Amino acid sequence: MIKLFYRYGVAKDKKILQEDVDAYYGISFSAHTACYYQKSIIIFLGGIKKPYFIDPVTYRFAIDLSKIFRKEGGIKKSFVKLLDLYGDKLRKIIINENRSLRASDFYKNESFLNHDFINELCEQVISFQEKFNTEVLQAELFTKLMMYADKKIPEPEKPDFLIPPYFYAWDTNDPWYNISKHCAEASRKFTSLPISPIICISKSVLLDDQQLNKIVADYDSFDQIILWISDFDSTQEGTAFLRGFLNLITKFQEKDKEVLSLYGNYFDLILSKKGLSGFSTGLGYGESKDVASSTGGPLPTRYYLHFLKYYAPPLDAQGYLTKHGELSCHCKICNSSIAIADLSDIDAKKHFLYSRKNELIHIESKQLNEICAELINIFQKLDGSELDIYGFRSIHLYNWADVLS
Amino acid sequence: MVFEKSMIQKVSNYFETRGYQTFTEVPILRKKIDLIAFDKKSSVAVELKVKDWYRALQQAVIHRVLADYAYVAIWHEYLHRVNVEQFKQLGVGIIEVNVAAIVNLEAEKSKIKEKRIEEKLIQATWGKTHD
Repeated sequence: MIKLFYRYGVAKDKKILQEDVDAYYGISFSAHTACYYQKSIIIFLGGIKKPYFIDPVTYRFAIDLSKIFRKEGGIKKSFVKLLDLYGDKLRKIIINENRSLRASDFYKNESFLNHDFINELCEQVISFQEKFNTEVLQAELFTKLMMYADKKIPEPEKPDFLIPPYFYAWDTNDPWYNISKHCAEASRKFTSLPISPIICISKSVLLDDQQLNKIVADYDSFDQIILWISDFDSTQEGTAFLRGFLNLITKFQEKDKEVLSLYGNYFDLILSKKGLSGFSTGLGYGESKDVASSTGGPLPTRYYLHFLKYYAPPLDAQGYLTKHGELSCHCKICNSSIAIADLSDIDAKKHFLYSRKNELIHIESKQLNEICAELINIFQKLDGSELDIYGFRSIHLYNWADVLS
Repeated sequence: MVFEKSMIQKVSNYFETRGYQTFTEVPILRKKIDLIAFDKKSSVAVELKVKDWYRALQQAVIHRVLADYAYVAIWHEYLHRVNVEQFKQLGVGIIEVNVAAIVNLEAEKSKIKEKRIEEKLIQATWGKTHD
């Protein structure tokens, strides 16, 4: 079964995820969220007893720092806390020198790597993930607090796998590509747990078979790889990019590698039939992500259209579905008397959780050719020009089927 | 140069002279409706655009969820570009704006209006009267 990880976004997600633990495989956290809300996350993990991993989000320190700034100025507290954990050298560059990381920071000169810096960063990043809940659980004060609150102290669980520092690269010739690769290799010496590197790269590489081959060869020594193709949104991409993504997964699979996708949607769910082991997504967001996007901030409520396999503004969804009742969702949220446009953010997220659970079961029970036939059938059944009036589209369903069949 | 602001005044006048109370730029469910008009029996939502009638139609068709009647108001010089058949099919009316606003195509009464969403709209306009 495909491993579906839900990315923990905001505190209210906890309640939703606790309610139906069978709806997913595990949880993923961004490191800045994990360190800032460490204690409550540990209690949450102790309650749900699910696998998890922590995305170290190191790429954030190598791009425009304003993306991690607060509105009122200065770096967000959660990132400051993370910098305290990631070692002095990185902290000095970001806080004292007030600049992003440069590729040259990882080199002593043109040909020699700065192993001191690479080792320090890798050790700290790996150590934070590995000891994420053990140190807190062993702390005397935490134990007392839990006893005082009459709560059971959770068993310390280690992450499913650890993720080395990684950075965004335009392609395999970009110096950041090599830096990430070196970090992945160097991280091994700091843990006995499985290491899963994140390959964070632009979607341009998907169109270049030679680059795909190089990526697969470069990461041959790892059993599991996580892909993050920046700004790759399978509901928007043409078939050339979709094929490239499938190609990359197939190439890794031929080498018996497990491949996860860091941001995924229904397309990734179907890709389980082609070798994708799992993917991570948020509740109501996070089906794709551009590295240049900002972090945090409240997101608008979105309603998952189960027949189009993407989200829409609730009022637009209501407009279309009131006219096309036959396409309405019948989950317990949608069957209640609340109008879609009036759903609370929590209910909209619950609706997504239930819909995705049904999709998981559905995909498991079907052959790939049946799923593709279903996609084509929905595409043909829906009136494209009417969808367009509501700002919706369905061509991606056809494209997915075209690429996968 | 035609500005939506001058159009909105003319459309407001059209409804007010017919006994409606009007509200402009009403925020509801993360959208902003250009003009809402209420009388004792019905509600009207109007989306204004100088020339991009298709974009206006996309908005107006959704307004049928929250109001009895949905209209697109368009500057008269661009009226010939409008696909009237598409408006008829979707039940959205057309208001032509020149020196004054006049209804060019009557909107069909919405059969998909959600009472609860309309109530939200009333609350939003009530908020505007108490700004």
